[in-house]
Amino acid sequence: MSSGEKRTMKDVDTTFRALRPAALDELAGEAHERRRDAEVERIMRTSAEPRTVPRAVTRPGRRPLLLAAGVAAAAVVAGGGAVAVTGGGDGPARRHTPVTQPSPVDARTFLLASAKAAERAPVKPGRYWYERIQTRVVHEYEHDLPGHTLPRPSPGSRKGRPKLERLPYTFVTTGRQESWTARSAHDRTRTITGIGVRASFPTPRDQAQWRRAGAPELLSKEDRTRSVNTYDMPVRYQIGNAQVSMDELRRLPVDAAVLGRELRRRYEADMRKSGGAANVDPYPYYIWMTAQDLLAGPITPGTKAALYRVLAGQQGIRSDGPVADPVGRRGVAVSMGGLGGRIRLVIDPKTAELLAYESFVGADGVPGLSETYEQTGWVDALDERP
Amino acid sequence: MDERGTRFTRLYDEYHRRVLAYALTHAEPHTAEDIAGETFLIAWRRLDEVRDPALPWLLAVARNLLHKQRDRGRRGRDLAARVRALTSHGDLAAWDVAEHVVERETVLAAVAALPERDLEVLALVNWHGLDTREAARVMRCSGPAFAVRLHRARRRLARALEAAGDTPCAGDAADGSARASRPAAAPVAGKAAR
Repeated sequence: MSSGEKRTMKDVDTTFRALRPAALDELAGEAHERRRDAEVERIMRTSAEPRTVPRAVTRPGRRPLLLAAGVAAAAVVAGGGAVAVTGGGDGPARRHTPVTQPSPVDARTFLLASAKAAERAPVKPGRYWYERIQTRVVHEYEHDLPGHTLPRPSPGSRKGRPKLERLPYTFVTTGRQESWTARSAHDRTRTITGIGVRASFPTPRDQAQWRRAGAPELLSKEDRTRSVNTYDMPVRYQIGNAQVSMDELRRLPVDAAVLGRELRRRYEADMRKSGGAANVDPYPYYIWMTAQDLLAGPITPGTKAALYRVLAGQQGIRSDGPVADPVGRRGVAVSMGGLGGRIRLVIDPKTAELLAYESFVGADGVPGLSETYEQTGWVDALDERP
Repeated sequence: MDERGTRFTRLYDEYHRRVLAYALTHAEPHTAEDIAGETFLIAWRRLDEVRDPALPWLLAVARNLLHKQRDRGRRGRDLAARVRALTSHGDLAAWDVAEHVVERETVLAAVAALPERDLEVLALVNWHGLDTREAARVMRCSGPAFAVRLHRARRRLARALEAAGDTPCAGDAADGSARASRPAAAPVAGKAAR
């Protein structure tokens, strides 16, 4: 017992230090080598704002609904490098032109009206929640091309640090995903990814530049391959950092004040768990992200209405007035500034359905990434469409 | 964008291994790799918040992710379990060469009995190469609060080792080199961590 008294604190540190397994560095070094290129590329393809979709890709299974194989994944994640593209190429001209004329209604009035419309929309829940989503991503860096990774820096040399190579042209990839999300935990969920994936150019000049550059492949075979995926596990939705089941999602409060308190409670729980306010998004942004995740999902009409009312009470949401969504449907846009640019929701004023989510990188121009909810609704069988 | 990309790539190349090593002390390799990846995804999204030295910031993020992971199921004595799982013959041999007064297995048993928080504190300073101020940032507490934690952790470990030291060494079963008595010399660092 007495010998221990002589043990100084330094000795304790020395002993503890010696316990460190050498395998820590070996495993870390090995994993670093193995993951480095793909991981850096994947991360840098994601946009700079918090929580668009990439989480699903980093941690497959966390958000199976958005779990997209092949291209869809690549398409969904990209967008980081997107900057303004001029003019429209594949579709109605000028459909993305930001609306600069005075908005007919302010965001708050519009959101309150949407709450009323959501309440009126008749909904009969079925066995599966169906969604068909089109994802559109603007690419303009070399590492967006299949088979290209970020250049590897030569170790130790600062001069050898990789520079992102900008392509002499811009190209756009679009693709669709369908999903049937089971309402019951006993049913399977199905997704079909990689539907109609194609690349196009915003202008003929981009296409000409691409030809001049040797017309490289813009999509890999894997990117273009349609894939049907079945999930046995129940799908979890995400609110902030927490996961909720379909059941919990459908039991969210239908009263705006109660929902507001619930979201605030969840936000504070996230904050506690992550160690403080610095680790979570600001509250208005959290609410905005939640709206983006939930409005197109299988929440009840009451919750949807309540969510619109909660949004109406938030600071920092602006109305962008009437716009067309990426597939040309008329809607009204509301937006909020994020860390990497504005995030806009396009809402159908008649039905209060979320038509599209668009993430802008620059101050204006076209969205670097957009997700269009082409069709959503309840069905009773896998492969049935509303 | 270019500048951002360059900065991020540099950050990744400089610290990815160290974030991985940190995650590996708290989670099994597959999870640890995911945690490190997600840490850098967050770093990319919040690159403007990452100040030099970046390691404490990165480890704080990784630590939060690890906590969330733990909330989802496993909890508790993960560090001692990780050390056990990662121990190689090389570690055992190095321990013997260093002629510590206590058997490695005995130290490990003592360590396993300590609160996880103590081990975390000790590991940040002794294994991951942080000074106390940096370690405090990882734990998101003040420097003095961390110093108190570190002091207590060291004291608890000293007490545990002392108690363990009273028990006669039964020899190191793992590498078969049973030794009847230990030299009374002060312990020497075997494999010094950075």
